Amino acid sequence: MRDLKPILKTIKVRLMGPALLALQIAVTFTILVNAFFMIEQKEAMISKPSGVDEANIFRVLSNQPFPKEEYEARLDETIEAIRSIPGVQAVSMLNTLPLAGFGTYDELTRTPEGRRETWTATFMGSTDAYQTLGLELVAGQGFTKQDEITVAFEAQSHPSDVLVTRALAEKLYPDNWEEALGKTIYLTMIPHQIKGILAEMNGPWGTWFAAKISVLKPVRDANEVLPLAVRAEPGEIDVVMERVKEYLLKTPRRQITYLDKFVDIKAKNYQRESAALNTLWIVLLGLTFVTALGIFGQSRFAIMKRRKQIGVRRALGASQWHVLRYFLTENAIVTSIGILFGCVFAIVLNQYTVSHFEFNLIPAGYFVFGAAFCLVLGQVGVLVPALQASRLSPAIATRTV
Amino acid sequence: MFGYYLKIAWVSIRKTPLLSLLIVLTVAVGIAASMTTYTVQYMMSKDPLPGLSDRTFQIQLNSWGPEKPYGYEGDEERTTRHITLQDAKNLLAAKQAPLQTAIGEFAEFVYSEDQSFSDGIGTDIRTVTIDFFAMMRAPFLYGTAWSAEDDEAGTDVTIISKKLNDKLFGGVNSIGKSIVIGERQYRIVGVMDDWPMLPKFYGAPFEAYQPTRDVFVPFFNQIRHELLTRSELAFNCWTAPADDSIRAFFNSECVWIMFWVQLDTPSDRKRYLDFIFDYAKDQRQFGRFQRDGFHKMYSVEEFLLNEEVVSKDTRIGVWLAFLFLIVCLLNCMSLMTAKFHSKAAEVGLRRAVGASKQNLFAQFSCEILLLALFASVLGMLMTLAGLHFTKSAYSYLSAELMTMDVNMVLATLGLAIVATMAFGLLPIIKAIQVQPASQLKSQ
Repeated sequence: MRDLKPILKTIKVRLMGPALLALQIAVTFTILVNAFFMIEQKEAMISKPSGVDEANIFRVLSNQPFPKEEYEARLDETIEAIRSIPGVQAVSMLNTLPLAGFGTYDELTRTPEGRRETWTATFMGSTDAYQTLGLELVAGQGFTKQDEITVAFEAQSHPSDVLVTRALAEKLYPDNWEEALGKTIYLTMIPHQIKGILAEMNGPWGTWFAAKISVLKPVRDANEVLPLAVRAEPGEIDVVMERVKEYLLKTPRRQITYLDKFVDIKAKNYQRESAALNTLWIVLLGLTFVTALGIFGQSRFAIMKRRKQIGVRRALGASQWHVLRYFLTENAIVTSIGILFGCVFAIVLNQYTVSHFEFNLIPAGYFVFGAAFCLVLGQVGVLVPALQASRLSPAIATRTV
Repeated sequence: MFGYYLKIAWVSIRKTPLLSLLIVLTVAVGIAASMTTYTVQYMMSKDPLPGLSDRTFQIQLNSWGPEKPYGYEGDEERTTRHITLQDAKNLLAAKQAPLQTAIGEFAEFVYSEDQSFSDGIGTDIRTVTIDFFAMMRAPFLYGTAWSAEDDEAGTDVTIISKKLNDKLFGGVNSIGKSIVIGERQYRIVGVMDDWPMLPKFYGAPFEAYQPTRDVFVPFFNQIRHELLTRSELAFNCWTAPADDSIRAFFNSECVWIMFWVQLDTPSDRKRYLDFIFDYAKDQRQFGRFQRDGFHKMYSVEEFLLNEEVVSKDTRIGVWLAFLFLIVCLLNCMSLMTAKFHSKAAEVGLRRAVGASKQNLFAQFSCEILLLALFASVLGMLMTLAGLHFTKSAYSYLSAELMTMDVNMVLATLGLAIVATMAFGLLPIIKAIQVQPASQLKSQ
């Protein structure tokens, strides 16, 4: 620590170099903390469980090329036929899938005219739809066949019993979510009883604020389109999809609008997030590279300017380690000053994003991580020039440079 | 003199190739990062209807039920993007705007007369009224919009995209031929040219950067044939329709239609808004419009802002990229300082033989300018590469977003040169402070 005084003195005398470096570190730190925070948030969003048995589920949407009065009978017939296809574990009618990007939503209130508690994503399908998707029931009962109603228009469906997600139950009863069982809720002013609670069921929109708050109604919509969710035996999804397609196309005038795997649907839903993630990573990598290069270039230049001084110190008995330590310490001090400024910038920027983009506040842990990262980056950048400096021969002191 | 300075600058750059290369590269990387993200944002926020967008408005009617409002924006009541069929018909009939269009949609299988049903492709079809094409400046390759009579009668006519025309008819003039939509034959009256409108503001916000739809049919054709695909339609009802037929849905208070008007001048806005409020009052005698006010008109720009069509991520990305550029420039500054520092002897010598500080300033400025020129060209190339990469990464956005117009090219070159020169100023000033006498002594 005896080095401290001369270092500070040098910084004061040759202000420009260190000031530039500190400023560069400050801006780097600002970007680093904010970008890394965004990355973490997006990663968390993309990797959260959807509740679905993701690998084995696919959906198929086809038309019903039959007269209106046959819709319901044909719907049952089609489901039965698909169920008997080898490799099909389960099949249900379901208006949309989690993360499919399209679906319906309801307004949830505790009384018909009450204040809105939340929006909910609303799924409608056969009574066994939650088993088909592989969702886990954590409280209450599943549906029985008597719960099911078949309608020809969504807006008209009023089943009494529904299943809700645990996130919805927690929204209503934060202290004890199991209390929600058996309670009546109003979905767009129509009363329903909560019959069971599902662990997870992601809504159709991945980035929606109420993405986890979902309702499943035992309602089948018998009309010209037939949306089905199918679960294949593990590892057989490709074959099963082909077989289902083949069966459906046996019917003349039948058309398949969608036939896609859940994993692809999910990837598509988060496509925007994934693309933003890639961009953030590229910025971070470029930044790290440029900053490290900058530290290297600058310290090399600073040390070249001081070769004669170093020679004098070596001639007066400073060891190689002393010289090395001197430059490492100097870099750490300049970096720390940069980090201090960087903290101020980062907080200001974060305040701005909080007020303009409804971002979250960055937790202190990120600042600690960012500081450590910048310090290590600085030390790595300065190491090679400092090592070169420490190997300078004391004889330099006797020459003119 | 200038030519001579450039010559010296070139010699100097040749003398320190590594340092010069680093300076050019660092600036170019920073420019590429910031201009790639900025170009995408700039294209995203472009004016989709230059000259018309400030007098084109989206109409939001608060036809919601008396029990409770549709929703809130902060503390203020808000209503939906869509209106009911009843209101769309009434507004069209009132003709209070020179141009106005109702926009709906349905999905159907589409194929040509020579194909069979099983060749049909499920297509999301846009339904519009006739003014749409004039309002939105739709470009026609063949034919024109359908006639006013066809518009009102909802005749089976259609306008298809160039893409679909290429696919079904090999790109020839297909006016007079037909395509089959579901069960019916529709006569083609027009083929649209490529229409890279950005953002495509008139439909749902999530479609703003997707290609124009392939099939357009008259709005009243959809009404006449009762065509509706509920699984693909964004709709909202505050009270259920009378029964589950499409007819009942059409006659209900459910909202599902986008309505846009184009006025003669932006100042007519007030007049049209007054008309909407009067209209809502009139409707009360039929028991509709029980809620007070909150009918709104959004100009194109307000609508896009309101719907957050340009995502937050995009805007934050631009911020971060520009900060990154600053890091690169600061880095450059120290590299330049190093570069000029090695010239101290040269400065001393030239000062000693009579060069003024201004001469040296001009000489070093030329050197930085030369570096800046290299950096701007390289930055430009890297930006183009960056946009190319973005095109593949953001495949869900239209490719037109990843193109640079003249403004962007000039901005890129200008930014690179101005930024490099600005950040080079301090190193130059420092470099020419060398006292001639100091170079005569040894250190």
